[in-house]
This record gives sequence, C-alpha cells and structure tokens, in this order.
Amino acid sequence: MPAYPDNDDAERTLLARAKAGEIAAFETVLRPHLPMLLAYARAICGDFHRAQDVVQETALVAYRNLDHLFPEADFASWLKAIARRQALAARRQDVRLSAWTDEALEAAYADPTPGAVAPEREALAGCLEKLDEQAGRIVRGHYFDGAKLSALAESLRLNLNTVKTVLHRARLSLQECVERRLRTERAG
Amino acid sequence: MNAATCQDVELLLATVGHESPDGEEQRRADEHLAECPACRRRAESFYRQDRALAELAAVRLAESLAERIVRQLQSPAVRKPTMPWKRYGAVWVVAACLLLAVSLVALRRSTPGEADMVRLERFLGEVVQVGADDAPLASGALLPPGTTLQTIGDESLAVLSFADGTRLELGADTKVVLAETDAATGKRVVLEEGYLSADVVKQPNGRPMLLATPHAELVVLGTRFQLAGGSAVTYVETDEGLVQVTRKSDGRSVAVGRGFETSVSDRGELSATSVLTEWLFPRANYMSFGSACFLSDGRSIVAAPFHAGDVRAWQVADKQPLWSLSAHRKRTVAVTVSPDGRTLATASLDGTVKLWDVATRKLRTELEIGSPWIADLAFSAGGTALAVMAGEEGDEHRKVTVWDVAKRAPRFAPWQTPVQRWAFDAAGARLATYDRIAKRVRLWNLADGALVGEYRSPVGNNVFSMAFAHDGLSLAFDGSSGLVTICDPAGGRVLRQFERRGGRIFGMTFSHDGRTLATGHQDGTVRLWDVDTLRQTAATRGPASTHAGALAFSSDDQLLLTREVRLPPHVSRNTAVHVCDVPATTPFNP
Repeated sequence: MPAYPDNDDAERTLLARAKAGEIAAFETVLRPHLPMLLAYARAICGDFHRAQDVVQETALVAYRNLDHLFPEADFASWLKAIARRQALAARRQDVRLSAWTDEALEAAYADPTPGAVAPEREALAGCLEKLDEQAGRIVRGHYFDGAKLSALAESLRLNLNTVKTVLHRARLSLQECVERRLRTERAG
Repeated sequence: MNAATCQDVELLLATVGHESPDGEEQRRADEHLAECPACRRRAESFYRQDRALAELAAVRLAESLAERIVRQLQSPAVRKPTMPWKRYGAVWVVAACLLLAVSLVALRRSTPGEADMVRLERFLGEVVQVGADDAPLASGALLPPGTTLQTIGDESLAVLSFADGTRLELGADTKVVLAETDAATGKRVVLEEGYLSADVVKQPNGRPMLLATPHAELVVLGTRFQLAGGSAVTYVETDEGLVQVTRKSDGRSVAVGRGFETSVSDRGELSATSVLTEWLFPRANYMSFGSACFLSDGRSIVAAPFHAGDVRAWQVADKQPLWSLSAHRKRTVAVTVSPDGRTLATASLDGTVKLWDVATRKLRTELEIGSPWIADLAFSAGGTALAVMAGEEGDEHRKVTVWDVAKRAPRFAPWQTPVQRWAFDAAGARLATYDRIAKRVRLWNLADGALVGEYRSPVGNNVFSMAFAHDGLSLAFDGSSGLVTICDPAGGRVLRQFERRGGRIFGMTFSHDGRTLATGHQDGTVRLWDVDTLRQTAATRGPASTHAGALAFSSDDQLLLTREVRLPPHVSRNTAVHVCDVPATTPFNP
C-alpha cells in the first residue's frame, strides 16, 4: 500500500498530480479516506453493500470534478459532501433520517479526517475480543460481514428483538471498555 | 401510545442507520429527542461508536474497493480531469488527432486494434500462451483475439483487463481462449478448464459479453460473478447483476442473479439456488501462521508462524497462549501430533524433523531429512514410524520416506515415483497417493510399504485434493472433473459424488463422525457438506484472491481448523489459520 501523505503539503501535491490525470496519485490521496466514506455512506443509506457502490461513485464524481476543488478546501470534507449526496440518493425508501438523528450523525462525522476516531478504533479492536460468543458473532456479522440483523437472527435461531437487545448490550459493553482503555492511555 | 422513554430511544439508537424503525417508532423517538438533551448526547456517542466500528470493519474492504475504483477510472469512458486553461487549446489538438486517426484506420484495418486487445495486467507463478511454443508472458503484455492462455501450478494467477475496464482473474491451472470478435458481437471468452472471477462493466446494448465452458454458455451484460469449468460440471455464482446460463446439451437456460449460484452438467435439474447458508463464524484468527493442528484435547491448537522457527500453542476458547517452543533455526513448515497425543512432530526449512514430548516440550528425537522442502508429516498408528513427504523447491511433486522413529533412520523409501497429491488415513495405517504422470491413485501400507491398491483417478487427470474419512472406509477426491467424489479407497469404486462449488479445493477433511466433509476452495470459501444428503450446510468466505483449505476437525467435531492463503503465498501476512465453530444444526435447506 502506498504511504499516505502525512501532511497537507503532501496531500496538495498529490491532488495537483491527480488533477493532471495521474490516477495513481488520486488513489494514494483517496485511499486513507475510504474507511470513513464507507462508514458514513452505510450510516446514511442503511445498506452495507450499497455503501460500497456509493463510495465507488463518490470517487468517480470526485475524480471528474477535481477542477472544482480549490487548493484551500479540505479534501476530506469535500469527499464527505459528495458521499452524502450519493448516499441520500441511494438509500432505501424505508430508511429515514430524522432531524435529530441527522444532527447526531453529522456531529459524529464533524471531523472527517482519517485519524478522527483512530483511538476509538484501536481500543475497539481489543474490546471486541472481550465480547461473549453470541454478542461477538452478532457484532462481527453485522459490521464486518454486512449481515442484516434479520439474517443474523435467522442463522442464530433467535428472535429479531433478541438480536437487537444483544447488539444494544454489546455496544454498551464496548463503550465502557473503550472508555476504560482510553482513560488508561491518557493516564499513562 | 405512550411517549418513548430514554430506554426505548437508546434501544433504537443501537441499530440506527442499519435497521429501519417503523414510522410510529421514529416519530416517538423524535419527540423524545426534541425534549431530552441527554438522549441527544447519547445519540451522538452511538453514532461515533458506529463510525469507529464501521471504519474498523471497512479497513478490510478498503483495499479491494480502491482496486475497483482504479479500474473504473482507467476505463476509457472516464474523462480525465483537465486544467481549465488547457481545455480550449486541446480542441485543435483533438481535431488533428482525429484526422490522423482516420488515416491510420485505413492502414490498420487488417490488424486488431488496441481496443480489441486484452492486457495481462499482472500474474503470479507460471502463465503461458498456448500454441506459441508455450511462451511465458510478461506483465503488461497485450494479447490479441485468438490467444489461448494458461496458468500453471497451484500458486498461479493471472489478471486480464479489457479496454472497457472489464476484468477477469484466472485462478490456478486455468485455460482460457480469448475468442475472435467482430463489430456485431461482444467480447467472447472460452473457459476450457479451471476457475475465473469476472468483473464486467456494463456492455453495449445488443453486444453482451459471452463466455463458454464445456457445458454451458453465459450471457453477461455487466456484472460480477465467479465461474468454474470442470470436465463434468460448470459452476456459476453471481455477486452482482445477472448472468444468463444456457446448458449446451439441451438448450435449457436459467438466470443467476445476485446472491445465487448454479451447477451445470449435461443432465439433471437446472436451477439457480440462493447461496445464503448458515455462516461459519471464525472464533479465533491467527494471522501469519501457516501450518497448524489440534492437540489431543480438541480445544487447543499448535501452529507454526510463517516467518519463524518457533511453534506456539493456544487455548481456542479464549485465545490464551499455552506455550511457545523454539523448535528450529529456520521457519517451521509443518506440524503434526501423534494419534496418542503425546508426541509433536515439527518440520523445518533447516531440513530437520524434530519430535517433542507435548507435555514437557522436551526434545526426544531429531531426524536429518536431507531436504528443506518438507510438505507434510504423518505418524503411523502406533507412533513408531513417521512418514515424511518432501521434494525439491518449486516442484509440486513429492516423494515419501517412512522413518523409524526409534532408530532415527529411514525404514523404507520404496516409492520414489513423485506424487502430486496424497492423503494419510487417520489411523495412520495407509497412505493414498496420486501420480499425475501415470495418472494412477495408489494405496500403500505404511507398516511395510506394500502397495495394496491401484486405480485410475476418479476425478480426471488433475487431482487437486484428497482426504480419508476417519474410519478409513472412504477417500474423497477433488479434481478437474468438478465433481467431488467419495470412493472406496482400496478399489476406487465411487460411493458418492456431488457437484463442487466455489472453484477447486485446496484442502478438505472429514469430521470424526464421518457425517460432514469440510472443503476449502479457490474462491476463499470454506464449506461444510452433509455426506449423506450431499447438501451444503454452512460456509464462510475470506477476502478475494484467497485460497482456503480445511485442515482438521477437533476430536468432538465442534471446531474446524482452516487455512487461508492469499497470493502471493510467500509473504508472511498473506497466510492465516482460523478456528471456526461448526454449527450444531440440521442441514440448511434453501
């Protein structure tokens, strides 16, 4: 994997090369943002697989419109804005974003840079191992494999509400674990 | 209906963005959130956690997604961005180029244009152009229509790309013909044998891409799918879009949409079935480990890391390390445990095999094998002899030597004919081998080296994998026919047979109760099959371009050990060993 530009100057240089048509430069500057874009797209359109299509389309739109990215603009925010439009267009009819959940979503992505939730991600990687078997299956199946909760319920021979409850408890448990780990790191 | 409580809203937030609440639920939640700042803060924290979880999961996807994006951007249909001041100046240049191009077309009419060529983007292992003296090829080579291409060897792979961005990834031992096309027809590819996965961009109306195998013809407008062509069966699984599959023998057709698969042979029912199945969940993953086996308790494993000579053991349930053993100076390539569970054998690139006491990890015996390329080990029933399969670097053929453990010397080595595949039976009494040159399956008695059976391969000229059942009464084969075949080991009489899915098998194993066969495939899937009904009961899937192998069931058949190898295989991070829970359910019947 090519090294990510670790400063704004490097990113600007890559973007300039991408604007000149260098696809490899565009891929290098885009790649670190892909996890955020995938997570964001999934949160809006409500579908694991559709989110990948959304991000692919976002990349294409971004590449075609690099001329419109001014040097002083923030590339991550620009990508996120494109992804939002694509994801809203792609979301299932039955997935709604209320004003309050939309506000909470945007607050979580207020900083769209790749490192914004890196500490939580690192802590989560360890905390996931601490979940009990059933909770671990549900969390991994839902987030890592993109399985719908209804499909997980069927495969685990559980009621859907039970799966949601297990997921809820697992997420609370993960929150506590992450907070403990982050506190320990800050104290250390 | 009562107003939502904080608890109601929190339960909703736990699944927000992935599961849709009904209208009434959403309305109640919105009313509550409007009045409850605490719940609004909880909503932010749930979304932030959701972001962290989803990003953690997406890291795995990002690489393949980036590759797809690059391919799409490389398509001629995608206009490159240009600086504004260049756009007008380019108009005159384009006009001049058009004039030049028209002139060139007249001169080049008799030769294929670059748009008709297929590029060999990259490859691993050996890839040849058949008919051109089997000349090896280089990355970036342009292949004209009419080219026949073949990948050779277990670790071979070739990625082909068309001018419109359509991409084919050819698996191991795969032969394709890039057929001639004209203005009226779309792209045509013939899969003579082997496996490919395809990512086909949307094709022009009236010019779909056509693929053919010995048994079927496929019409593709724009989709992602996998195709395996054996001498007896064609297998198709669609990841995106739709593939129309027509059986050559009778012209019957079936449409295979996203999430569906079909197997086509000359006879029998033709239908598309859902690939939905019960999922195997890896409960433990050991990255950068190559060889592994269960210890006799069935709840712990011992594994050799890819890059080192040590050997490590873990408790599977909680991944607690049990012990570590500095076994060899160089990389440990194979591990196995004796039938009584007391002795661990480790083989290394340093050319030695060492036998250890499992309980104390003390070294008992060291054998100088004389070759660093040791592929496999197996104890005899009583543990007094050790069969060692070894060969030359880069040669998939091996020779067997049976060593007397007490004397530290070869007991006998009568079988110097190289073998391509082999299987030891669980009781440690017999060895089955496949000689690809002679095209013979042979059964040997490990105690005295006697040949006790010989017959033709039941699965075609190429045998990909073999495995004994634990009772020794059946031997399973996978090969170029595409039919997984279970035979009587002594005489080769076919007992059961079913159509393989997911590409060729890189490792398979029977459960101890004989009811389940686990198979690891070229497409990265590991599948469980009920031996009685021959139906798939569960599956798991690894990343793209992964070969999977099913290694062993635990002694109680509740756990399955599998191996995953991404190409190229000689990189530490590209190998992993997994332990999966085996579902304790009746077969899933879609």
